Amino acid sequence: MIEFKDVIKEYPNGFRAVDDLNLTVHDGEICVLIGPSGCGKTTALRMVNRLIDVTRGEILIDGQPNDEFEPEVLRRKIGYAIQQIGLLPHMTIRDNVAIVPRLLDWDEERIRQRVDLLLDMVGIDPSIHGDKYPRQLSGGQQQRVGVARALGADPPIMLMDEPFGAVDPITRAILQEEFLQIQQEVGKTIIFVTHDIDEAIYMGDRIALLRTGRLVQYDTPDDLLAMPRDDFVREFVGADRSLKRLHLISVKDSMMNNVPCCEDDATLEEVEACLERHRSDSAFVVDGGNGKLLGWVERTALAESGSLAEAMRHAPAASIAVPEDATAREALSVLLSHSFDVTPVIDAEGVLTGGVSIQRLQDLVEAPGIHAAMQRERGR
Amino acid sequence: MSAAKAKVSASSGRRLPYGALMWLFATLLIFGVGQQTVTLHDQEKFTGDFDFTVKQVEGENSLIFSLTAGTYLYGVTPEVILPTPTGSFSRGDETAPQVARALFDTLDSITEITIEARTITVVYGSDMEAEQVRSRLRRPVNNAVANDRGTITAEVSGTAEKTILFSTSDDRFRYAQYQPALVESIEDYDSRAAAEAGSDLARFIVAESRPVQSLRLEPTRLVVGYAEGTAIEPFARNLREILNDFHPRASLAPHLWLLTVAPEIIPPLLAIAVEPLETGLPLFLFTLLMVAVESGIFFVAREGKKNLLIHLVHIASVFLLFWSIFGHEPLWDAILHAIFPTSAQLVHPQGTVIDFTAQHLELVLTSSIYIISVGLFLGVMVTRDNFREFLPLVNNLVNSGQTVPTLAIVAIMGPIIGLGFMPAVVALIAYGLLPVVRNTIAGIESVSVSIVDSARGMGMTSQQILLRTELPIASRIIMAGIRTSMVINIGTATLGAFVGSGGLGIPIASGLSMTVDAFILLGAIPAALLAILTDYVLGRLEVVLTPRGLLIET
Ligand SMILES: Nc1ncnc2c1ncn2[C@@H]1O[C@H](COP(=O)(O)OP(=O)(O)O)[C@@H](O)[C@H]1O
Ligand SMILES: [Mg+2]
Repeated sequence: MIEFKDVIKEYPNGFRAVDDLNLTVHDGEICVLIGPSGCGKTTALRMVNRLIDVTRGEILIDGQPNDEFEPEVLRRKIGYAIQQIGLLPHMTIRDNVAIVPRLLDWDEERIRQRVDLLLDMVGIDPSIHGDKYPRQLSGGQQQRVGVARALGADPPIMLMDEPFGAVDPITRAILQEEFLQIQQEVGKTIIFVTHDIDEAIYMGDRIALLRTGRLVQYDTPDDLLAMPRDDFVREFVGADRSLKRLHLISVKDSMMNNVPCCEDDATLEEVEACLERHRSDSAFVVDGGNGKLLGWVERTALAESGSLAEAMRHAPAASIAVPEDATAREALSVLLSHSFDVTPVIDAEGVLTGGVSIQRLQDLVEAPGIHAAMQRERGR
Repeated sequence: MSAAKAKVSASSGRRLPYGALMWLFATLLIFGVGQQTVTLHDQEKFTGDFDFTVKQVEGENSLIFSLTAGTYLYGVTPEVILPTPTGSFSRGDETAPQVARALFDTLDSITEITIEARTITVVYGSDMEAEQVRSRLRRPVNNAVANDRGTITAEVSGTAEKTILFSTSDDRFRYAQYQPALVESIEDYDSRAAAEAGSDLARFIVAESRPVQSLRLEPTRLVVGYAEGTAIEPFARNLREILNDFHPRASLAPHLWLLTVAPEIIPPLLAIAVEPLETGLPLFLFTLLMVAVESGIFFVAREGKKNLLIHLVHIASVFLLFWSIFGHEPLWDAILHAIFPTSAQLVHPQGTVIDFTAQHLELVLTSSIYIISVGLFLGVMVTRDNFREFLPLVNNLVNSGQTVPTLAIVAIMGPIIGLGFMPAVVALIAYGLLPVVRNTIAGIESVSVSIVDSARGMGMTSQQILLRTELPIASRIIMAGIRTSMVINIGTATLGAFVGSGGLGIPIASGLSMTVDAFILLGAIPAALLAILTDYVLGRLEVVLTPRGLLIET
């Protein structure tokens, strides 16, 4: 656990970069520090491992003030990754990852195993790239090595200053996703600095929004989007905050189970009745035996056809439906590209399990944050 | 080991480390072949300088002649111009030769001059200090010496008589120190008859000396039995002369081979002598270092660096130049003689090229050690956060060190420290600091802040950051600074001669003041070669010392 207690940082020129910061980062959580350029994110981050000294206030690590440690001892227990990566160009990839373990005098065999494990974890094949030098790797690969290096001695805490800031958007998305997977495994307590709200929403368990050194709002991504505290926050998260919230909601949580649907062996009358019941112009057709989505049928086609088999349109499930673990935003995207009122949702087997309608999504983004709702619930 | 080998074969295919092998070969040559080198000499100017100790065998009519170690001398004792009539001349004497007249003209107080084959005696009448007289007369006397291989030294033979004796030095050039041998294998003759049928030397001895009754020839000993009643003293003296008369070059020095192979190619006056190389050990260490350097380069050789053959040629030529030129007086002699056929002076009186080069290197290395340590220290200090405020000051200081002419520094230094070695070193340090300090600063500043930041963030101490991060990354630039500084230093060090520090500046300075062009070249050519060699060696070192990861171009 990392706690900022009334932390103030004044640079020698009198500039107050961090102003009365109070913040608690819980174990195993990613806390994203975000804010406009120059708002003090980097300053706040670097005070944790004492690269910058606190002017007033204190930072506690697991309850212990961080100035009770020798700075070097403290830093070796805290992973550190920065945007410019800072790999040492004269050392091999392996040696770079081994820096902190070597500083801690681990024995070489243990270091070797640890290094190979970490490189594998970040998707760098140690047998191919381990003995190369940083300049022989691409930017994305270097960034992975930077993350592996920060994890070097298995520190409980990681500080990451825009670690994926220097790579192209596609690589960044991949790195973000992979890092979240790694985090699932390692469960570090992480402070993650970014100025990219999308990254913050995607990566953060909690987001701390800073403005000119002051903490404006500290909330889960969903709550931040749902209930911006003031205009600054609202503007910062962007006009598309509703869309962004859809990112945070999975289809599973937002779908309705009751969608117009009929089995492929139904009679035309039964189909008609189903459409009536749902006040819909089209219905999905599933396999009578296993419930898998086969295609759809439209009301207009019913009159001209002799049977459902004739009237229905076949389509591969993946092209018209979204899987249960997709985000609500993906569901919206499918919704917009087809003419259905409802986007069907399928499980891993391809069985139709429900659907998402535009109305449903609207309700969701207008609702207060889920976490806020739960808190209110608890408060009551 | 096997891992390292595997890496090499992977990275460099089947190529061999030619450079390293070449240097290894040179090393073996120097030590394996007994530190010897081959030079051509003017056979006529050799005289064997060896002798025998004679011992009488108790109770037997037998003498043992043992050869002492000998030295071959090259050149002859210089003589005063031969057509010059010898004799005593007084002022106004019509028959006085050119030399005498020149001397009378130089100093009015000279009353009498005596010229002999190897001496000139000057009697003068003034109250001048003998030392002053000597220095006034030295130049005209030296000019009078016809022989181009010698020097004239003067002794003051007593102030009371006011006489100065100039004599040609007996200090001939020593070339070969060797263990001479009488014969190759032991020869035993128990009668005169047997000896008369024996080897050349045996026949020669019995023919020349009557009392000899038996003879045993060993490589370094001669045992002679003589007839009853022989007077030993004259017999031994006579025998010694006989032995010395027996053409010593061919028989007593197996190291000296007369060239018979291709007389039409090699001038008849040349003989080949195999002689020990005085520079053997330093050269050996040097070549060994180069073996290491070249192997280092080979091990880090990357794909696409296929100019090893060029390196080979490079190394071979630089090495051969260095090796063959520096150690060998006769070569200098020959070169200078070819360039200045009429010059009266070719060989510098104060020392050999290798002497001057050794002094020069001492000067350069001493100052460079200071320059490197002080320069690195300053460069590192002013890039530390605590001392960064001194950066402009240090920059200005080292800059001004290089702007002030070296001679001026020496001139300022002179009254404070005096003349000699140290003032020259101090001046060289002041002059050579700039490239090292500047490049150390530039090198360390070239390390990006993010690299230092991440090193600090990982928990490296300041010292670890310096040693493991900043210096390795800056090493290439720093090495380049050291290289520049040392190469400049070699040139600048020639100025040291003006404050008496020795070195290759001495022949240059005396050449300039005495207008002997040969001397100028005698200093300038080796200095230039030394600079080239240094640049080359440090360039190779630079490649080896630069961490491999930094050689990758991005
Ligand atoms: N060493 C310093 N001295 C004075 N001001 C500084 C120093 N470092 C940063 N600042 C100022 O502090 C503010 C916060 O900087 P920083 O924490 O780096 O911002 P960011 O949120 O972009 O990471 C900026 O306005 C910056 O100009
Ligand atoms: Mg920043």
